[in-house]
Amino acid sequence: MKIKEYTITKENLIALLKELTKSKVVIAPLRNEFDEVLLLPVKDVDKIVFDYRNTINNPKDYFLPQCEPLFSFLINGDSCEVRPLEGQEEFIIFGLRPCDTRALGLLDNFFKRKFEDSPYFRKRKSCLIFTLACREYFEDCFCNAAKSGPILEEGFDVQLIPIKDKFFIQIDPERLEAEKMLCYLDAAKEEDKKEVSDLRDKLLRYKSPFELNKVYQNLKNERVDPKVWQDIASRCQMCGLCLFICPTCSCFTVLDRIYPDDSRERVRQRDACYFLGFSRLAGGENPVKTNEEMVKRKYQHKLVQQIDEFGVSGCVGCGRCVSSCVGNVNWLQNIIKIAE
Amino acid sequence: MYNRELYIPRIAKIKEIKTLTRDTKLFRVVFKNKGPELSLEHEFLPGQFVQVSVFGAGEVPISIASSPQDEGFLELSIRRVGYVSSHFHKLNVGNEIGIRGPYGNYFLKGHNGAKDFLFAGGGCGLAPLRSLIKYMLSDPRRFPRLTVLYGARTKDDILFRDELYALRESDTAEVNLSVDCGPADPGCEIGVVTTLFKKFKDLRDTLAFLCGPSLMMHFAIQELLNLRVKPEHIILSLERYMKCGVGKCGHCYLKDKYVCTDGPVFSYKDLKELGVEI
Repeated sequence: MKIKEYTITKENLIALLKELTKSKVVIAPLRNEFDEVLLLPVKDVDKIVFDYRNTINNPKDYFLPQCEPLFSFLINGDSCEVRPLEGQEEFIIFGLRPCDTRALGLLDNFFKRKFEDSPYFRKRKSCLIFTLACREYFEDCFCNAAKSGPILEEGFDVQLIPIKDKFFIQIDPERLEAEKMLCYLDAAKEEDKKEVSDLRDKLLRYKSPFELNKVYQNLKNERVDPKVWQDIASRCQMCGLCLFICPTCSCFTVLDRIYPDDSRERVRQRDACYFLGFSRLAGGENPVKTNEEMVKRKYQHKLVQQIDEFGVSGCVGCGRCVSSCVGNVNWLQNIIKIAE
Repeated sequence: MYNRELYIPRIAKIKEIKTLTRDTKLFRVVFKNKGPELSLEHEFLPGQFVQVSVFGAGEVPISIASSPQDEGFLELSIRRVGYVSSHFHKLNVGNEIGIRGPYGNYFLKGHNGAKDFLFAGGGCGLAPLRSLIKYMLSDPRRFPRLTVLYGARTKDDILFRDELYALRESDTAEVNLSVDCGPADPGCEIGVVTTLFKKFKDLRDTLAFLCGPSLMMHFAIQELLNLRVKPEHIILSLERYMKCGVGKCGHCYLKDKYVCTDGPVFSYKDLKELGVEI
């Protein structure tokens, strides 16, 4: 089935979003008092921001939050009882960038491998996503090299591409129920389609900062100068920030919590493979113990293993880790070095 | 699978606790609500593990130490070494725990031709091997010749000591024991794992199963290779930190593999191809 194409004016888009917020929680880019844009639940549709590079937080917050319960349990003398979670309400994320949309697609595949991760898919299956394509590249991001933007060809529910005075809308044929939710749509005209393809062509002409296949080959065949790893390990502060804000990083730890009111939950909490204890066994043995080994593991996992398993890069080029690193490690520059 | 929801354990009751050594206990557990659709029989194969919960303390991966033919219960050999295992040791008969699984792959897959089987265990690495040894002992026609090599730190650290001694007496398997530091019982060597291999000259058609501390496995592999065991016939069970057991939490990631779902059993050949140093 082919992707369905329409257009909508901005005025109608706002009206549509107002319609949707009546029955569902809508999460969209909102600007806070510090002039930062974050994906947050919308109260006032008129406050939704369209002119942003990318949001500080990423969609992982709504599917694999920093901390979430897996179930609650009771201990009564000798016996124990577990209680599954309550149901999940449907929600909408509006204005996700293509790179983050691709990141969610990767998480979908990851959480499906071998066993389907029920806490993730409870939320994922209750969510409809509106991707907002980029008309330009921003500082620090490199979706063209990671093959995840600035306009997606597939892998979205609904994609909006800003064109002159309106939005071009594409709907994934497998999410046609979305079509029923959408009102105020106009048929896509030939001139609209041409505008989109011209924009796509223009964006494709930008030089990519590295060639993904070269990075893959050099990492896979261990053709990376050891100095690269030494350099990264020397500046990396092992704070795990780049991993927490990465839209594709999904490692977690599991722990039992007892609250002041004596209610008890097992929770999972995001974890980072840059923490020294990440691989350490209870007996003290640690198979991955140096910063260099930990750094290498991250690059190898995202840029080799995930490509091998899912056919797409584990880095989507959103650039969040580049602009926020306290040790100025610069993931992008390192990948460029690896590609050399 | 014992549990129906991925992360929600099934409740099991501790039926019996046996103290094996000063830091290791064997727990026999049975499931609480046995439904016809959740029978225990042959639900796992030797080498697999379960995620065991002490509610309030957390969850840890533990290899199943009983045989799949032991119907109606599971046995878990737990060494008091970390937070959850310490809490586990405080539990009594009648207390309830949670179990998810069985997870991971298993020792026996497509080695139908072999007649000679060797087990090399170190410390608490004997637990998963015990499951396999018990399983193989029940079918002597398929598994005719078994040799068990086991090393512990001292004579007080020997796991399943009575069973090993009984097995040696019974002549159904050859059993060689060693302790790192003396004194030792008669018939038990003093020395590191390599001392156990001294009496062999050629093991070329043997299938060897290993589980133990990484240093012990490293030296045992060298011995086996010297005795002409093929790298694909050296089968190891790896220990890794795991939080989920189902390939999601990322802790056990090893080169291109997740030890919990792609392992914990690997052949030495597989590991070498992956570039894992052992």
